[in-house]
Amino acid sequence: MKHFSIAPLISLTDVCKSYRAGRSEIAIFQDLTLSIDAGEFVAIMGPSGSGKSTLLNMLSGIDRPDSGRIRAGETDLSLATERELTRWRAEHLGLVFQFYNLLPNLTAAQNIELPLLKRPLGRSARAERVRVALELVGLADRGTHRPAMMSGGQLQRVGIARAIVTDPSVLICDEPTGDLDRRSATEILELLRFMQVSQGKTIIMVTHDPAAAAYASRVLHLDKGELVPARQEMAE
Amino acid sequence: MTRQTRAVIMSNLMSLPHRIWSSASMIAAIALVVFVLTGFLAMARGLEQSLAATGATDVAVVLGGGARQELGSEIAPGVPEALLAQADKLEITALSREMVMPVDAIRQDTGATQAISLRGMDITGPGLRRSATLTDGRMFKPDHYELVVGKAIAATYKGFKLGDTIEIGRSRWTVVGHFEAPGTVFASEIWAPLAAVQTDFGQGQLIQSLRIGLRADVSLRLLQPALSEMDGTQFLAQLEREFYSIQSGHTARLIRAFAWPLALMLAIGAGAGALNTMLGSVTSRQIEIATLRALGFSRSAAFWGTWCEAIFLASIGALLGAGLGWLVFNGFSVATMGANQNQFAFALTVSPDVIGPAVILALLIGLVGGFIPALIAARMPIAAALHRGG
Ligand SMILES: Nc1ncnc2c1ncn2[C@@H]1O[C@H](COP(=O)(O)OP(=O)(O)OP(=O)(O)O)[C@@H](O)[C@H]1O
Ligand SMILES: [Mg+2]
Repeated sequence: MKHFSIAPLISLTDVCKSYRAGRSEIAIFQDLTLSIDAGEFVAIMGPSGSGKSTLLNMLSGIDRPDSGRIRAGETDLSLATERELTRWRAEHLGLVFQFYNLLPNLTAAQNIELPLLKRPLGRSARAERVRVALELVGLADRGTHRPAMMSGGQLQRVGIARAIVTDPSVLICDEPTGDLDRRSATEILELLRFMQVSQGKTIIMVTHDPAAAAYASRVLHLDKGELVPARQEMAE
Repeated sequence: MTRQTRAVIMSNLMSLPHRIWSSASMIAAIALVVFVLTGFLAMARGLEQSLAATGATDVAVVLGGGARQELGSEIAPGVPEALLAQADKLEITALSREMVMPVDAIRQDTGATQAISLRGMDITGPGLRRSATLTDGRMFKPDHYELVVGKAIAATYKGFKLGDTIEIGRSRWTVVGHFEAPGTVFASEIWAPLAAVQTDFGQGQLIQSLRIGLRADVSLRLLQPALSEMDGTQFLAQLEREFYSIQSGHTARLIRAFAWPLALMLAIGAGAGALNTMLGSVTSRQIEIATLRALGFSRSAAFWGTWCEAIFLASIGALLGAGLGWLVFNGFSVATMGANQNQFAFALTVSPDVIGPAVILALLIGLVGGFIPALIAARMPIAAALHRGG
């Protein structure tokens, strides 16, 4: 894990992005500039369709800006090849999805093991990492369960375990509590804050929920593709 | 293969039950191609085997008049005598003068009339067919209107039971014996004394062919120059095995020339089905594929996962089609037109060289039909797939 004291960990400079809808173009971002430091817990809020997911996708290297630059650490994501982006994700990113995106045919432990398959680790080393990750999210005894047998809160904890099992520097979470009840949501948010505070992870999280955003160290508001000034009272 | 790729393949295969009907239709279409092709190739192979089993390597077949088969061949009456006069020198052990006539016979089951072969031969003739053995009755006597009938013929057509008399040509004939000659063309013939057949059909002294027992296959090299010194038209002297395998070659080629275009047409249909099935598979797995790619799985893992699924389904289709083909076709007995335009029966043979090409075609269907879907899986735009699915 690398910390950058001078340059920010992640920076967007003059990023433009639009989608085609039939014949017309919908501009999502125009000249978006933003930087995130290592170790921050950033919440991104904004109305539906404001481009929150699009922003996360570009930060994850699974979508590309039309123009502008996105730098993450020493990698220029806007110039990287598909292969380099894939590798960058595998090495530096943990992704958490709103609907968990676990493979239904695999057990919790097998799902968590997936990102490790690319690492030069033997079977037992992988099993040990999976065990530690399961323990961190409080599911030590659920490794052999399949997704169909678990509750939403448990599924998202498996999702977080899968995201952290490679010990990435950045966690990107798109509405991680969007599908959960209040109690499960709180557990997940506590877990994310724990990852930031005790593991030093940089966390970027999209949420609609002000209570969730309150866990972040900084809140960004997106509206019509623009960053509007954060209202301080929302972040605290 | 990387662990990632293996994991994707395993995950795809495990999710197959969710796509059971579409997968089953791809398997069935491929199995049909294999089944049909197996049937035809088994027919060609069975024909070849039957005719190869018929031919001996120490018996020569001599045709005259430039003919390549017995019908239309003619040999002057002096030729056999001239050959026998120098039997020792030419290493000839036995000689039979022969002619074949197509005669009508009535099937016991349908009552239909079909042509079968009546072969007139010298009394030495049966001895030159070592695969044939007399099972009932006795051999015909020279110059008598007596028939010795292949058992398969006796079982299929009316009037050939032991002791039956039957009208053929202008005379009544008595069935005096049955013989069997498993797996050979002879099993579908009726044998009779040459002179009786010549007289009955008003053919005078016509001899179509000679069967000549040789001391060894190399003795053919003595026979050929001796024949070319004789009067009369062009002679063709071949070992019996060669004679039949050339004939079977024609028919087998014909069957294959018919079977392959048919199989390829079915294969195109099956390929389109495979393409459709696999496109459906990629669509239904798009979130899974996009998720794995987002987690850092490579494009090639997505590609191989899909391609291997197609190959796997094609293999099952191939196995099913070949297994079914073997069960149905192997040993299945059919009748066809023989070399002399007459019925003869043989058994289909489903051998590895029959199944091999059919299975390879099936795998090709999987490879081709799965390729584009695999490419689509590999090149799937991750964000868009997650957006659509989420
Ligand atoms: N792959 C795509 N193709 C076309 N249009 C897209 C695509 N992804 C997003 N959009 C459109 O871009 C706009 C922003 O989408 P985005 O998913 O980033 O919004 P969001 O802020 O995450 O919304 P929500 O809160 O509903 O998740 C929307 O109008 C959406 O329909
Ligand atoms: Mg969104």
